[in-house]
Amino acid sequence: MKILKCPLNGPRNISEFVWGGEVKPMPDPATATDAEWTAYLFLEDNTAGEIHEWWLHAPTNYWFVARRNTISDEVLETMTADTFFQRTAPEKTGVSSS
Amino acid sequence: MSAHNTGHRLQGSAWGLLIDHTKPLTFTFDGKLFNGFAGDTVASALFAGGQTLLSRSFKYHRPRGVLTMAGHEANCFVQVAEEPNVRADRYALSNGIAVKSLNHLGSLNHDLFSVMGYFSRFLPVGFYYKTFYWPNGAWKYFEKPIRIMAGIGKLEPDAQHKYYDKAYLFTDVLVVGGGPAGLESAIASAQGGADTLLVDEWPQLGGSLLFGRSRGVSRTETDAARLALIAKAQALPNLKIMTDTTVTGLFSDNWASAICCQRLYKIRSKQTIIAAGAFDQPLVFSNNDRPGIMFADAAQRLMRLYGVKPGSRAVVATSNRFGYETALDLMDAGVDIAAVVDLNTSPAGAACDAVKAKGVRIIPGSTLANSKGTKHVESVAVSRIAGEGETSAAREWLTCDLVVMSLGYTPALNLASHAGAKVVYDPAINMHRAANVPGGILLTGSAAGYWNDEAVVTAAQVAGREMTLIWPVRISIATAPLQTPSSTMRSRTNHSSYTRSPCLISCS
Repeated sequence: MKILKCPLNGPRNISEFVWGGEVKPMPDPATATDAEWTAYLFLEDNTAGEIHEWWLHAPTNYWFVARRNTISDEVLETMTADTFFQRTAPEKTGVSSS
Repeated sequence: MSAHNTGHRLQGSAWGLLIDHTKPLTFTFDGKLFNGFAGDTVASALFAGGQTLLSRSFKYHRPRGVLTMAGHEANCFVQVAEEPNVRADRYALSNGIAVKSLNHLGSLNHDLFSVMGYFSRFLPVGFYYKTFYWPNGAWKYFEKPIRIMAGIGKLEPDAQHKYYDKAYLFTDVLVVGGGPAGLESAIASAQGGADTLLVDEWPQLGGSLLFGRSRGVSRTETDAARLALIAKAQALPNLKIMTDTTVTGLFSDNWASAICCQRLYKIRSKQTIIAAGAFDQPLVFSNNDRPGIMFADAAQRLMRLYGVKPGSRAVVATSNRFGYETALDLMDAGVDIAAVVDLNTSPAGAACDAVKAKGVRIIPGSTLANSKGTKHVESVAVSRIAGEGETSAAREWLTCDLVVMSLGYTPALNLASHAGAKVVYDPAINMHRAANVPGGILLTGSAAGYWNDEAVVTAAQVAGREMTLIWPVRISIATAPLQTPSSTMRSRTNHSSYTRSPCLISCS
């Protein structure tokens, strides 16, 4: 059984985790079309290679982000959601961007 | 019963390592009373009692006996009380058990289904039961006899439920296999500071050291090496040893399953060393499945582990030193060697010289071509190798009641494949080997293609040491550090403080 390292609880058996799909930007619910919203909720890009995914440690109800290679099924890194968003969008965290 | 003379035990401390002569046991096989000793398996006690015919083959009901004495073949399936398909060559004997043979009509010795052999030309390979679906409605007449003839073992609906449980184990390094390679690497790993777990499926550690002559063709030296290694292993406080335990699977992230009696162990380790050894490869010739035709290892196990004399006159077919070493063992046990048949044209080596010095006839450049016998092998035909895949038409028949084969091995790559490794053929060693082995797993010993005694020891020690270097690093690179105070415990400098698994510690 694989081990996944939860940023809060440490390495645990993967049976304790629930996959939450690829991390992708959420369309604005007020303006999104039904098609856009459906795609956001249900459709995956199914990328072959490294992707970022949401994972839930079910016993503690803790969501975090994992970087995984979908070809080798190797989890390269796990991080808190904060860390992920700091990396991808530093301007949103209040850090000056230019 | 055929008239072969197998039914006796060898006396002396060099024989029967696993059995206790002071504790006799009795059991029944198909209702007939047999004797054995504590430490015997069902097959070894039956062999000592002269019952070398253990089962009937699946389709033609040909007589079959022990081949490996290591539980690697289906010849040995028997039923013990309500438990079907028990491996007779691995099932520990206990007092009063009722053992039954399978898959025959009438008695095992006079199986009425053995006439099937005469119809073999009408029952080609791949002959399928669905043939009997035709014509319409025919199946209901065919089904019952086919169900009786096919299948092995009988399920007992009223069988008592047994209690099976599971347990979890955590260790830094898991070593699978307690032979010379496994022992050496486990010792090296434990000496390097890693908590090490050594798992072996036999009741005693030692693997081939229990019966072989790997050290200088000397049995006494080999046995001394075994005892020295075991003493060294037992003196290490961070080396835990489990015998009688079989590792049955190796899954992602070094998660191994192991079975001991009625308990399943789920073992999580940081590193796994596979030292599972190798499987014998048979010599292919007509009628090579008669009882009395077995691997050299099987004959050695019968003698050394269970003190059973495997025959009175033997033919050894070989192409390597193990065949000659077995010939020496057989002579020590008082078995006449009719001849050693060597596939090589110019046999050489220390073991070969020792056999030659004893005046044994060696037939080079030849192979076995056929065998005769009703319930047990009575003679074999020797034929000269005429060319690639060809033998000369001339046959020399040698009378014997035992044929031992040692023609080469295939490494035990089951666990490595299970973990995701590919099996590739390596022309350099003329054997298969594991490629693309997942991280955290190392193979050593004959499972990795090491056969020379020194190479086995060196490679195993290197593997063990390497593991102790890797394991603290591996867990720290697995993912980003924890964001809890316990993350300090995971640093490399602190690794000696581990007593339990990282899973347990980091949850604190």
